[in-house]
Amino acid sequence: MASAGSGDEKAAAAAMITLISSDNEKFEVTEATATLSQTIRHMIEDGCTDGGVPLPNVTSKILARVIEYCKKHATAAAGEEGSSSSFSDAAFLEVDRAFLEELEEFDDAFLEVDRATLFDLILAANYLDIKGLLNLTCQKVADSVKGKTPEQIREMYNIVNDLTPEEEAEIRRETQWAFE
Amino acid sequence: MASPVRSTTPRLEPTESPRQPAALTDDLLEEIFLRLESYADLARASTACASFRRLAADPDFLRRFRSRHPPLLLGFLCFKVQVGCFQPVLALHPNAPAAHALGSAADFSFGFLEDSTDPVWAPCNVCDGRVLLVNGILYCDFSRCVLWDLAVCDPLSRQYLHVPRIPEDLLASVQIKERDIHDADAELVPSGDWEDTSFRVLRTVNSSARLAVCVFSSTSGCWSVAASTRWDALGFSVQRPKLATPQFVYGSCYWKVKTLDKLLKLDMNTLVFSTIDLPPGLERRSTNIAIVEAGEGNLGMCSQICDVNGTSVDYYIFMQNLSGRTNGWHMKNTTRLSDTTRLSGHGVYYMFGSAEGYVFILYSPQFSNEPQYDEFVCFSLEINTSNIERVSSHEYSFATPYFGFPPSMSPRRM
Repeated sequence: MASAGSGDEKAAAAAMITLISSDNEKFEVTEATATLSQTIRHMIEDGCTDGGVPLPNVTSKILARVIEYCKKHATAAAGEEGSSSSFSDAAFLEVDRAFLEELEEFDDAFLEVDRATLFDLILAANYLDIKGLLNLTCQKVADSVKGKTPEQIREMYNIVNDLTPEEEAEIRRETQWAFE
Repeated sequence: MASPVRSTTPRLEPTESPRQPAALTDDLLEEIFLRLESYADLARASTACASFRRLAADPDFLRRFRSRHPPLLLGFLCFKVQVGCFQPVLALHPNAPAAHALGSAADFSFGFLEDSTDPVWAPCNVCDGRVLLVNGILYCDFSRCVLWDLAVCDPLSRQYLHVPRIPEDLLASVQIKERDIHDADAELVPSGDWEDTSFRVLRTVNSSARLAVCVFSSTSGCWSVAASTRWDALGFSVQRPKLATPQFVYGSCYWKVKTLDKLLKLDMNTLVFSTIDLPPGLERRSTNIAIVEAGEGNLGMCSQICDVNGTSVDYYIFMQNLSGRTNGWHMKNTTRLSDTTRLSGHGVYYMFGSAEGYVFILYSPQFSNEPQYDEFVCFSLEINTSNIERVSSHEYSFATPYFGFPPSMSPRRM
């Protein structure tokens, strides 16, 4: 069973997929990396990836970053699978912990981008249906709002206050407690 | 929109000005808002613009937000003679602003109930934001009338429902006559779902020979007998056991059997009674216990112990071994209250309730005959971490923790 599994992994690792960004740049990635995206996984399953996968909604700059994320997380996932069969429980836990710490550090560094890039990553993660990346990037935006006033939020995300004075007064009454 | 002037980055090249973030769809905005840390963050974000406001006020979104953000400890419903009052958490507590908002938005005098002046409705139980009220308790001859009229209300929306008395013929069907009842505790049954507007009330009807557990359902508007038994069928070593107030854990109801090291359990799904032995000698050492959820489906218990060293709370988990035979109680830790609350001297601690992973402890600074009363101090003890926090102080000796949401984000309760 274990040998059959690793054989499949090797086969999967060998299969390469070409992703094509909106500005026509080509990226060769392993299937294991590409299938972190549910959108691409479904295309592979449907056998429509020959000649490359065009991604008209994702620029090369953002696609490069998305691939960086998928590579790291695909490696971590493969590492975890491999370790579960070959290590004792204690050793497995140790390796698991190390993987998680390393991934966390990677994610923190990965999120060190300007807001426009962060939003582009959210859009790409949503379009490509990469749950982990969508969660990570949405959480980063949510964290940046913590403790901020509406004025600060508007300034951070270039939001125009389109509430009428009456609406604003009503919301203020309702949410006064959150400003204390 | 004109690009803002950035005095902090005085650069000449126009290409250096930061790119504006792309517009997000409503679905993605919702994903971000769901991940906001607190209700206060959501409230502030909702005042930024009209689309944020629309999302934050959407009932479906709020339901999803609440499912990810547990209810907040907002204060305590305190009971004094026939008057109830809401005591918000201390000013320094992070939930204090939301608690004060609830205090002004809700009516904890229960004046909105019909016949609210004579006789008086008195609160006796709080659960999932609903309050159980008892009618006319002051005017009753306790020995003759134990099946007082009840009502359940939502103090925020001011809605309420009268709960009828248990019909005599229902009691007769389990061989209980009203005049033989010596006790009939009433409790709201936790639903475990804040979005559920229906509720149940449970009454533990004790008569000399029999015990009946009656349940009122707001959906049917009727009482039914969930389970009943002869006392002697339970095999207790005392003839007429007395039960403490029931506690609900993982869909079962537990009563501590007074004077015995026993718990009586009613599985609310199978409606079968069973008994659980408590650690031997607990009854002698412990003043009271709280049955709690210990995680992973395990039963937990906090037991208040008073001895020469002061007061402590022992936390036990009821473990079952692999063969399915119960392995008994394992003590996990002890929290010494006088060490952790930084209060010492002549006061008395009393563990008075549990909810949402906490037990609550009241400290009475002067347990004496002096007529003056100083303020009671209330602490929360987080069961998993043993963290103790001072959460309230008030002048009432009976209180129930009140968990809920900021008024504009609270779900309908009835």
